[in-house]
This record gives sequence, C-alpha cells and structure tokens, in this order.
Amino acid sequence: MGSVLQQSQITQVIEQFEQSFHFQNQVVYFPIRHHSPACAWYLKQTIQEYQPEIILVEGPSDAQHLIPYIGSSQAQPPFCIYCSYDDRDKHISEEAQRYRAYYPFLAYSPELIAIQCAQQNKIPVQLIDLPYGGYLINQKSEAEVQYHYGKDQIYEVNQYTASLAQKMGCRSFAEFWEAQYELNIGKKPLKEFVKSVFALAYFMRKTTPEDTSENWIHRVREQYMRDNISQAMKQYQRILVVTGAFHTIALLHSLDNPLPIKPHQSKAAACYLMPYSFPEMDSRSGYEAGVLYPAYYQQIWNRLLKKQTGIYLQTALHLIIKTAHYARKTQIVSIPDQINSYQMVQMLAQLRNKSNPGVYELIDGVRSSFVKGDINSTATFELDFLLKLLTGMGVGSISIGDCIPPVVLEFRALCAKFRLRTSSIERQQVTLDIVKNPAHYEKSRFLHQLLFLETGFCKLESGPDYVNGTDKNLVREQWTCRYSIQIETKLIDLSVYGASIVQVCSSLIQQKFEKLIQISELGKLLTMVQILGVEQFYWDYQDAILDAVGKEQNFNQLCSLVNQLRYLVGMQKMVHQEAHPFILQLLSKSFYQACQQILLVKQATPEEEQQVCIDLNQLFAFSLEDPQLCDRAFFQQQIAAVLENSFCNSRFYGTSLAIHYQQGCIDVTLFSEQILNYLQTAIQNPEQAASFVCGIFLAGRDILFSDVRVLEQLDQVIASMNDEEFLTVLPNLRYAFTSFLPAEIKRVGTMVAQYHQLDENVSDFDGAVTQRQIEQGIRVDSFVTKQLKNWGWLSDDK
Amino acid sequence: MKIQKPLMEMRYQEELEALRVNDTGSRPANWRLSPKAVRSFILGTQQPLELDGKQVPITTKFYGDSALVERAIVTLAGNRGLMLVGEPGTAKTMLSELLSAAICGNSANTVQGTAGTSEDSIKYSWNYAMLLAKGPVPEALVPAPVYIGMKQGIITRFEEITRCPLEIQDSLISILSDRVLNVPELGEDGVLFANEGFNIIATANTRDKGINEMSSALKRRFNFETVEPVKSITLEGKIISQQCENLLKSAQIQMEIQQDVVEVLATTFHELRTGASFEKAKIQPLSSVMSTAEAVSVYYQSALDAYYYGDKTIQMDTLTENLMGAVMKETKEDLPKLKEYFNGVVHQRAQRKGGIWEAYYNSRKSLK
Repeated sequence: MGSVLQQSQITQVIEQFEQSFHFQNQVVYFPIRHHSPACAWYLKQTIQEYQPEIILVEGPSDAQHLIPYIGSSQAQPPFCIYCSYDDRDKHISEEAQRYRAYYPFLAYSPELIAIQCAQQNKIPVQLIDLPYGGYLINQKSEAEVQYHYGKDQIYEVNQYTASLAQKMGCRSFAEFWEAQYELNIGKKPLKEFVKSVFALAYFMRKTTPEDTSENWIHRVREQYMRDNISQAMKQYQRILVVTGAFHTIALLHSLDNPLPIKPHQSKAAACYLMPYSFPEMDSRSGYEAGVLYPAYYQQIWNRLLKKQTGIYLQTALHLIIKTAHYARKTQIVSIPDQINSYQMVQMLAQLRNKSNPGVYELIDGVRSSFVKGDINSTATFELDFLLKLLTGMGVGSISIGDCIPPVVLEFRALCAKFRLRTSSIERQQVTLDIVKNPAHYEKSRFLHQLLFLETGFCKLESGPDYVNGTDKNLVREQWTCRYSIQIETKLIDLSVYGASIVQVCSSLIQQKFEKLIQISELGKLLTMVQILGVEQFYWDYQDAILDAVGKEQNFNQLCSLVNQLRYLVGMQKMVHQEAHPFILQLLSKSFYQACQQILLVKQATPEEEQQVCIDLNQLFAFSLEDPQLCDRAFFQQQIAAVLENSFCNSRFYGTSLAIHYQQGCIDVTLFSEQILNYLQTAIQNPEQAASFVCGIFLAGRDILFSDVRVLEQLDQVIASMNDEEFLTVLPNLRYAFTSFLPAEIKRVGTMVAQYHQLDENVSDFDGAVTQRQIEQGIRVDSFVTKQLKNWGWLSDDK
Repeated sequence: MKIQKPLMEMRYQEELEALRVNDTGSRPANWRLSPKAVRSFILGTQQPLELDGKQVPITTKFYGDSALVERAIVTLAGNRGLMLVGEPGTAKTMLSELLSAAICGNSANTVQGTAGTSEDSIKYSWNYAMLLAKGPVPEALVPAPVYIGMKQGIITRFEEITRCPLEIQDSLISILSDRVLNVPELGEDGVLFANEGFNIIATANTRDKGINEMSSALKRRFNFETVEPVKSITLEGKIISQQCENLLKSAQIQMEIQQDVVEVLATTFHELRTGASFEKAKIQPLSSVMSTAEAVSVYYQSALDAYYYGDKTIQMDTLTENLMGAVMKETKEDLPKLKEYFNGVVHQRAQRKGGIWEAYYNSRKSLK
C-alpha cells in the first residue's frame, strides 16, 4: 500500500483514461462520485462540449418510465426513486420479505444533471443499471431489506482511502474529497478534473478485492450495464455514459466469460418517485451512499449556478451570521465572535493548504469561537444549530402524476387540510379536543389511521386509549407528528390494500378479524373500527360477527366482550350522541349469549372462580344500567336456576345469591337466613365458607351492616378453625374485604370490637400511619406472602 | 548536572532548528515558525528535514485530534487567547508547552494558577529594597510573566487559570482587549503596549474547579478548545510507550519498553475510563481520573521498581499495586470497583487469552 507508484502504473492509468474520455470516441465515460457538485458541474460542461446523442445513466432500468417526472421542472430535489420488491414467492429467501431500495437525487447529483440536460437538449436518456429485483436475485450474500443505490462503501471505506486521507492531513475521505475536488470547482480544466477522478477511482478499485461475495453483485451490475452500452452502440454514434467512477474502470473492459445474470420476477417489483428529505440524504443519518452536510453543498451549488465569486467564503459568512442570530436567543454571541469565527475559517483553510475554506473549516471556526467551555459539558446550541443548517431540514417535492399511488396523494391532501407539516421533518405538537370540536375529531381519526398503519408519522403522547380502556378520564389527545420519507414509502407498500387510507385500514381490519382467535379481542377490534372511522366494516361483516358471537361458549370471553362493547357504546354516545345500531344489537346478543353460559360455569374451578364471579357481577351491573338492551328476565332466570341447585362452586353461589338479593327476588331477612344457613353447614369446611363469603361480599356486602348475625356467624366460623385452617382461608378472607370502602372497613372494625367487647380504641384507626409502620407492614406482608408461597398455599402470581 | 525536565525548546532544539531552516511559509509577526511549521512540529512529518547535512526526523508529539492543534495555532495567530480545557492528564499542559516552544521558543514564561495567585504574580511586582532606595523606577519593577510576554511579544502560559480567584482572572480582560498594561507607579512612562506576537495560552481542569466560574467577559476573550482523552487503545499504548521511553532515557535507565505490559495497561485505563470493556460488558465507572498521564506514571513507576529492585522486567504485581495507587488517589470507594473489574473482565480475559492477562489476574491479591 505504501509503496511508490511505479511509472508503468501511471502510464496504465493515463492510457485507460484516454481510452475512456476522448470526444472522438463513440462512447465517452464520465466517472462521478454520487451527489458531488464538482462532478455535476463538469458533467454539464462535458455534455455541452461533447454533444452526445444519448446519455446512459447508472440507475435502475425498470424506473425508466419515471424519467419525464425526474427531469420535470416541477420536481424539486431532494426526491428519490423508490423501488420495492415483494418476495412472496420466496425466490430470495424463505422469509418472503418485502424489500425496499432508494435512489435519491439532490439538485447537484450528477445523474439528475444528466437527465435534465438530456431533456433540455431533447436527446434520449436511459437508466442502464440492474433493476432492483435483479440486484436481489443475483446477490451472493444475504439480501438486506433496505438498500440505497450508489452504496459503494467497499470502495470508499477501506485502508487505501483512510491512508490517503491521513497523508493529506484530512480527518476522513469525505474531507479529502472536498479538499481535492469540491473546493476547486472551475479551476481545473475539464479533462484534468475527470482524469483526477478517474485515477482516484482506479486505485480505489485496485485496492478492493474482486472476488468477495459483496463485490460479486457489483460485477453483475457492471455486466448488465456493459450489455446496455453495447446495445446503445448499435444505434448511436455519440454516447455519454455517466456512472460511479468505480464502475467506469470496469465498464471499459469486457469480460472473457460474461457473468450469468439470473432473471427476476418483474411483476414483484414496482418503482415510484417520491420526495426525499435532506436529513435522510445526510450520510450521518445512516444513508451510506449519502453526502455529509447536503444542505451546505446545496448552497454552494446555488451560488455556483448564479456564477457568484468566492462562493465558499460567502457561504461560510452567511452561515456564521445565521448561526449567531439563532444563538443570541439563548446566550451572548457578539459581532467579534462572528469576526473571529470568519477569520478562523479562512486561516484554517490556509493552514490546511486548501484553496478555499470548506465545511470542515466552517464547523471548526464556529466551534472555536462560539462554544465557551468544555464541549462535553457545556451547551452547544449554536454548534448543533449550525450542523442542522448544514444538513438541512427541508423535503423535496415532485410533480403529481401517474407515478404516485392515490393513497399517497390523499395523505398529502389530508395533511394540508389538517395543517400537518410535510415540508420539513421538524416535530409538530398537536392537541385535539375530540369531544368539543368536530374538526378535531376528524383530525384525530386521520392520525389514528396513520398510527394504525404504523407509518411512523405520529405518536399519541397522551390521551385516552380507547382500545385498551386506559386513561379514559382524559378528554384531550396530545400528538407529536413528524414527516419523513419512510411514511410515504410505507403508504406505497400498503397501497395494495386500497386506493384510500380508509380503504387500506378497512382491509387490514378485515384481515385482523379473520385471524381473530378469541372473541374478547373482537370488542377491541370493533373499538378500533370506531376510532379509525371505518364503520362500514360493521355492516359488511355483521353476519360473520353475530355468527361468531353466537357460537362462542366461553363465559369469560363473552363477558369481556360485553364490557368492551359497553365502553364502545359509551364512547359513541359521547362523540356522536348515539350509539351505532349494530353495536347495540351485538351488545344485546353478547349479553344473552353470556347469560346462557351461566349455568355452565357454576362449577368453576378455584383458579377460575374469582374472574367468573367478577364477570357475573359486571353482567348484573350492566343489566341494571341498560335494561332495554339486556334480557333482564333471562338473567334473573339463570341466577335463580343456579340457586335452585346449591351444588356449585361456593364463591359463585355466594355471588349469585347476592345478585338474587340485589335484584329484589328475596328480601334481606331471607338473604341473611340463607347466608347463616350456609355458614353453619360450612363450619366444618372453612375453605368453602371463606369462598362463599367472598362471593357474597362481591355483590352484596351491605348485608354485613344490615344484619349483625352475619358477622357473628362468620366470627364463629373463624373461631372454629385451627391455625392451619385459618392460614389456608386467610387469602380468601382478606380478598373478601377488599370489596369494602375504607369507611366501611372502619365500621366493620367497630362492629367486631363491640361484638368482642373490646375497647373501641383498639380498633380506632384513623388512617394515619407513620412511615415506620408502613415499612413494618410491608415487611410482614412480604414475609407472610413468601411463607405462603413456600407452603404452596399461594400461587406465584399473587 | 542534568536538568530533570528540560523545556520543550531544549528537548527538541534540533527539530525546531530544522523546521526553522526549512520553513518557507509566512509567519505572523514575531513568530519563529510559520503556522504550518508549528503544526509540523507538534504533529510530526512523514519525511525528515535536512539540517546541516543531517536528516532530522520531526516526531509526533501530540497524538489525537490534529484539527484541535490546527485550531489552536490559528487562534494564537489571531487576537484571542487560547483556553485549553479538559479532564486532568489529557496533555493540555504539554500542548501548551509545545505551542509556546514552537511559536516563540520560550515555554517557561508561565503563571501557575493557585488560590493564592495575586496580580503581582501575573503582571509585575516590586523590588522593595530598590523601591525604597530609588523610588518607583523601572529598574525596581520585577516583571511577571504577562509583563514579560507583552514586552517581548511572546506567549505567556497561564496554568490552571480557574484555580485563581475570579478578580485575579478578570485582570486579564483589559490586557486581552486593549493589549496594554498600566503601571501607574511609573507615571507617564507607565504604559506597556503589548508587542506583536504576545498572546496567552491558559489551561483549565474541568474536574476540579470548573470553568463555569469564569466571567463571561473573560470567556469572550478566549477561544476554547477541549482536549479529550485518547479514544483509541492502540494510540494510548503508543503514547505510553513513547513517553516512558523518553522518561527512562532522561533517567539514564536502560530498559526496553514491554509492549505487552503497555497493552494491558492501556486497555485497563481505557476500559475503566469509558465504563465498558472491549467485550462490551459494563464496568462501574470510577471517580478517579484515569488519564493517559496517569497510565504513563503507573508504567514508569513500575519500570523504576523493576530496574532498581528487580530484574529489569516489570512484574504484574508491581503494576497492579501502582495501579491501585492511581485509582485510590481520589477516593477509597474506587477500590471495590477495581476489584470487581479484576474479578469480572480481567478474569474472563485471562481465561480466554492466558499469558500476561493471566499473570495480571493473579496479581489481584495486591489489591488490598
């Protein structure tokens, strides 16, 4: 690597260059670095001088139909060709993934300049690179799901470029490129410039091993491009080929044994034109073929086109002033600071032997002059702002045409309607009051749709979660929205499901419905339908839904569905003042179906009993709430049937008995008699008694205050237990009293004290405890729980 | 008698002369070398320079961020002072000495900032005997480093500026703005204008009294450069080797640098500083400053121990003891964290690599 360049090597480079770049040749190769203003500048000059009949550009050939839109004056870079490939037939891998590739353009991308010049000169321009599908199929290494065209990292990031940069005193290859090529735009003659790019690429290629799996696909691509060039040579006499410089070297020579190129499924591929953003163009954001600080070079390019002088100094000055203006919002940045910064920019360029100060000198100058302190621990607003300016925040735009799926167009139109920014990637906070403001409700639906589609455009920071039933007390929704190119990419991928966002949501909801396993999820799905505003789904699938509910026999699932539907009805009434008729119908049916299962769950196991009783109680509560929707008589009938046969789970029996009392089917005397009888008979079976009491208290705890005998009988049951039995029933007894309010607990305490003729102060608990008492209580509780678990009397999840 | 620590301009006299002779760049007023030559002096050159028929290699003296050196040089050529800030042991002082030596050939014109630093130690004081005898005459004035720097047009170094009281620091404000120093006692002749070439390089340690206390007015007169610890283990190892080689040579000790020990030491310091091992395991961060300078000191101490008490081969036990000393300098609470490092990361590495890492792990018994 470090050896001196031999004369023979130099001669070889020059010979090959002359072979590639001679205006008398049928084919002239213009080697470029992607997104290089200098290459774009000299390319324009080449086109003017060479006057080609056709221009061949490195780009996916199946995007040829997008050329008119790319070259259109309405298209404002940055934008990109978005290629997708749906591997549902598993030609690439067993995972049947969907692959994506981006081929971005900036205003100064040489490829874009080539296309624009071709259109201006009314000559054909052709994309000659392997289609994306072909790229995927022909890879030897594992295909990445997301790819960026122009990703020539193996040529740029290697020991050669690193040592080249180091020898020139540059921190990176990017700085080296800027110093040697960008800062001298216009100073070198055309041929000298192209020769220097060619020579650089020659050695970069030479130092990269040819036979790696990563390199294989580049060789396949070059084969494909070579074939296209050969085809063009049959028809045209003056052909200009614009490709990455590393490929130019290979394109000059045909292979003795052409590489086999596997065909791909063209139907599985699609290409669209979409806007792109400056931050996504920045290689610091992960776009490996990107350029550092794209907005900076955009400014340079703009000045270049206006034929201004001192473009780099002027740009530096402009950005220093802009940064200082921003910095003054938070701290003192003076004119002397700006002067010093500007001086530093110029002097650093001189020190580094650069013909002009570039972006690195600008950053260094601002850093030294503006940042007052240790950069790791002081605020660096000004530097961060400068870096943002250099990267850019804007998004490009493209002309509307057939190349854009309607769902993307609708997205943009709705964003414009709802004043959601898509022209930059800055975050936008949105607060919506969906109850009071109908317009906000509509906007909320749109955002929920985008959230459901996982576009990444918006995030609900706070607000009611209707699907999961949390934060129901909140009435406002707080959203954060942020545009990125990935959103439109996602929408394009989803456009197979419909022509509008609502249609896409509806299709996906249908898919979810078809995959439903548990009926309890149906409620959430129907709530989701409401939120997304795709209520047509109710009617389209009403038979299937009713059928599914009719077939369900799981009591818990049905009760869960009933609760979710109750919530949905409440939500609909809040927003629309009335509930959807289908939901009401479904709720009624679900209630009836749940009631039908009551007799089947009376033998609930100890593991199930708690949830079953809660569900039963909730059913009862609902029957009181909306008697018109619920077949109350049927419910009563089912409860009575349970009580007729006391051979059932004791807790369930207790709950049913309490409900029976609450329904007014028995009076308080009979109710307490039945409790007493049960407790007396269960005195030999404390577990059963405790469970029964749990059931009673769940739905009818007030009996404890209505008839003191219940408490007395309960006391006798407890008194009859030995220690071991008591410990066994303790969890259930504790649980039983969790139904009580604190004031009720206190009252029970007083009653117990009176019954046992104890001093009331013993039970006088005013609720105030010291921290020490709490800590003690926690420790005791913890110890007891651990012991109970060790003995197997408490399951690990309690 | 040999000087214990020669000044940079003494140590690298030949290099500076070679650079001066071959310097074709333009120089700011009163600079001995052009900015490019200063850069070459500090960062080294690939090719040696000729001096009196001899090839003089220009060695790299500062490793790390070359852009920082460039910014520092450009700052000193301008109208602002240079403030080097950073954690202890990151070579701020060394860089300041190198810059002074290269620019004006004098790195000894220094104020050492302490809590007791007064204006007398910065600007000037009086020979009181002469003052009493002859009154306020120029001969009675005892110039301090800032006075000297202004008069001669050379760099004045101000070490640990933030340790000085605020009002003392602020006495530099008018000097850096107006470049004039008033000596009222001398009447009409008591105005000293700074000659071209005068500037100040200050250093501040961010671990102790931070630079937050510096007044905004004074901060504005400086360009700040943060000198960060070396991020690469290889580079850190190289620095340790080179520095220790120089120290051993100065002490006339014939000992080869043991590169495997350097690697262990550099790795240890890097991992303890960053809080993560090479294998990406998390390590409890220490309160102590694990700087490269400290690593150099640990190696050097161990080498001396091996030379005078051993067989001229550094033993890992000794290295670990010295390491423990470095770690516990700030607080004893770092000792358990160091032990944990040995029991975790070092143990695993010893099992995997054996050799010197195993010996290093076995030396953990020295951690008491």
